[in-house]
Amino acid sequence: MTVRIVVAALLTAAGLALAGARLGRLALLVRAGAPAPGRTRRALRRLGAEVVEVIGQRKLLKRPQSGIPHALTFWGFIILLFTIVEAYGDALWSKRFAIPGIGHSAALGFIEDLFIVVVLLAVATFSVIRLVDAPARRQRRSRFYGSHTGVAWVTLAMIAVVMLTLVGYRAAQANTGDFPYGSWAFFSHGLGDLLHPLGRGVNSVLETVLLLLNVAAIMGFLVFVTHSKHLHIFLAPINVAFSRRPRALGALEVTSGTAGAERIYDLSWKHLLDYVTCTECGRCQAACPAWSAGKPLSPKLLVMSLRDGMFASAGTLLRRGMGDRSAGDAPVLVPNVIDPDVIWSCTTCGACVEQCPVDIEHVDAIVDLRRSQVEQGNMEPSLQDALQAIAVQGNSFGKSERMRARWTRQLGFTPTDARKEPVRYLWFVGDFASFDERLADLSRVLAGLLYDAGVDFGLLYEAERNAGNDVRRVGEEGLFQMLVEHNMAAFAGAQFDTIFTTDPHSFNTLRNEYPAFGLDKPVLHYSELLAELLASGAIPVEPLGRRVTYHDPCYLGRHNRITDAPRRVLRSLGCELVEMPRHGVNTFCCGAGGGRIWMADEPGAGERPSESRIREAMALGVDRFVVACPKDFTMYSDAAKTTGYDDRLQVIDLVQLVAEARTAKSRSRDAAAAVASAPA
Amino acid sequence: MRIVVAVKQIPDLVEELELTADGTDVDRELLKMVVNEFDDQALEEGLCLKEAGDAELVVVALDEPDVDQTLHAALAKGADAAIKLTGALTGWIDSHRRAALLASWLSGQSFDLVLTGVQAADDLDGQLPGLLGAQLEVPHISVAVRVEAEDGMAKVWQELAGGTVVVDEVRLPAVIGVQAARQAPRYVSISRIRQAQQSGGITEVEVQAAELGTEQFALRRLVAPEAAGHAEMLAGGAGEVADRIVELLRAKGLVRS
Ligand code: SF4
Ligand code: SF4
Repeated sequence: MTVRIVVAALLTAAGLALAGARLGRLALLVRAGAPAPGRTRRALRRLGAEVVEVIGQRKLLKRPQSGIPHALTFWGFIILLFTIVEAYGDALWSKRFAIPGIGHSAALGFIEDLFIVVVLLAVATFSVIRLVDAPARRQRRSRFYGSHTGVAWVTLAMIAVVMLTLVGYRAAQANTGDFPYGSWAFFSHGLGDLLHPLGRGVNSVLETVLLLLNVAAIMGFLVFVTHSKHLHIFLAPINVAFSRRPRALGALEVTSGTAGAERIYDLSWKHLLDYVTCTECGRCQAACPAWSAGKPLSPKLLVMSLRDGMFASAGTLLRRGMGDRSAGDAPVLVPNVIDPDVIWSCTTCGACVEQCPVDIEHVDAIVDLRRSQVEQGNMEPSLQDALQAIAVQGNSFGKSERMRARWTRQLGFTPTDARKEPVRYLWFVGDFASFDERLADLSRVLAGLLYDAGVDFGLLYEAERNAGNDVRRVGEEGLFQMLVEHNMAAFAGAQFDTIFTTDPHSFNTLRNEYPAFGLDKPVLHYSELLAELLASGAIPVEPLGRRVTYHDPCYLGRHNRITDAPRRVLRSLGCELVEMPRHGVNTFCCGAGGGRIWMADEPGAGERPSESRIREAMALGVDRFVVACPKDFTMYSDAAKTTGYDDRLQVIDLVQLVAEARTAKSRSRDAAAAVASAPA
Repeated sequence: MRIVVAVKQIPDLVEELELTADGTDVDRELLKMVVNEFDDQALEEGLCLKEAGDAELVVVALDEPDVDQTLHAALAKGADAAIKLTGALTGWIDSHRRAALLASWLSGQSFDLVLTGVQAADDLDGQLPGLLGAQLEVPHISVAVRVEAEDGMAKVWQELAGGTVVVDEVRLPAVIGVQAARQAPRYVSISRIRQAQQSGGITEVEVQAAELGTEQFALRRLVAPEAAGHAEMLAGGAGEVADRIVELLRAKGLVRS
């Protein structure tokens, strides 16, 4: 017994000291980051997130194959905390130690044994997953590509060792008479029966040796975990607690000002916490459209590089973490730590953030890095042209701002000028739907529909400017704020109850980001308005009876959770909706978001996201690919052509489908003219 | 070394230009005015020169609509000072008046290099650099695509017709008309421009009307270009289109037989 106590105490002291030192160091590194305001607000909601995300393992369970074994392992670890306490009791206290208040109920013995088995099976499953999706063979298609796979195998092995030593010493106990649980502890007793022939003496030695090995394995695991990516078992709950709610996606933060993050400590401490929390699971990478197109960006590798950057500048960060803010000699991140192509490849689609089980906020980090590039004037020429055009004329097309409402001239009526007459709905049309010829046709169809349905709506005419969603996402924060000021002044000069937009990107910033600048009106997307008008019968339709699929725009479906309204529209039109595998909040980006539409699209090694999406739809046997975003209309019409499927799959906007379904008598002559001019 | 870059505002050409009722000027009422793109090139070359060596860079412009924006942007990009010449400046200022106004200020200044755009939408002849050189009685070189200065001399890369580049040497001070800078004009973020705006930085200098000299000429009338015939799109199969092309070429006498 003395030997047990001394060895276990020494092992434990060493383990705790090593792990504690490491955690303290990490805490200092993280504290060196810029302030992240609002991260502790609304504690109750954060507590709720802990329950759903951490204990409930919500995101992990969305992928049952790896999610179920992970959840079982997680719950198993919690249950097996009891065995750790018991092991310590046995080692340090008495051979018949019982947890006070719980004792040795048969149920506990059973559950402990059950989870030992479950965790061992989970470890086996994880091994199979890693072998099947081995990066050495599957290269970029593997979600583990670029992860520290060696470390992962060691982790799995260590978990197995902890489990095996645990059940081993319990089995030996069963033979020495020290095991307090009855036959319900089936696994321990089963193994005990196998060890029984060795005799009591051997089993007694085995009990002590395996118990000490178990304590050693637990401590070894603790030290190992705190020094590896497996740290997430401690940090995930903390990171989730500080993550943005209700979702990790949301209004972009400006924690380092308009100049963005030039060096590692310009990123907020929440970002730094993100990087040490990442488990390298690669779920983000598997969902990233840039990565699948063969671009250099992988959200996982970005996070890993930033973590490497953190550790490489540890000296500076430690001094800053201790409060010495003048200690600053960390290298400039772009291009030293992160290649510029990496940050410019991002479409800000948010798939990575949506997938990440520990709520890492990749998009904010990317935009922070982009801001630093914009501040220094580093960007590609076509983006520079677009930004300059927006600064001068308020639109990315570089057309005169006075031409913004020219598309209305071909309507048979003049939409109300909301600056002159009060209206119920203010239509925020956006650049693409105003200036692009093909998309302006769609705007005319929508205008005709609303006019015939008697909707009281108006426009800002030339007072409208680019809403700035993508301007903000390419990192031109100053220009974004200038656009907001302009649009807010235009709103102030108009009378309306509700805004609706054509463009999901404008919708996103108006709805989520303008309120910080004083906007207090509800914002709708036109799909929501159409759903309402169809439900109320304001637009009478006859069933179309088509088989269609629908593409959720990232900024509607994922960023804003509006997945139902467009589907309601399709149902009202009597269409049979066949879903693509990636739909709703898990939609796949067209590749145009986040300002990518202004940048040259050099093909990567893989297929363009929009083309891969068209193939996904082709497999469904539908003949209409329905979109609800001007940029999607352009991107997918092109992709349908380049893939050669345009004769079998027609890309069509939601509004065109509504127009097609309208009963003949509900069309006024004027609006019918507008519909007739729409592309077939 | 002291470099002066003269910039000016011109109407943004994406706007539809309309003439005033009396037909002597474009209607400036609603026009967006932006910096002449060649002046932007001159500024970029000036900034490159400044970064390459020890130089002070001053931008100067006449008080024309939206010029503050242009001057603030220049300051944000790295100009050391911005001068706005004020006075009785309305309507279109032709290159003679412009040269006289700039020279009246420049002649009281020390300078080694004056850079300005080789031309502008309202000075397609590229008169300004030459006129300015004459007024200041210093040499002038135009169509420069690169300028390097050392020891009171400047080397000027000049692009001639047919893509020939000659390298001239000129004694300073001199006036250079810049066609293109050695690199694309840099982007300056709006937040930097706003910072420049907040810290002031534009010095106003009044120039006297008396210094303008006598009117060299009077503008009688501007005429909007008449719309030329529209392109005709040939539709149909390849064979039909080919036949139609041959027919058209024959009709114009460009192919025989
Ligand atoms: S936002 Fe989209 S494109 Fe950008 S890193 Fe995440 S998944 Fe990739
Ligand atoms: S960022 Fe999140 S999803 Fe991506 S590898 Fe890390 S933990 Fe996994």
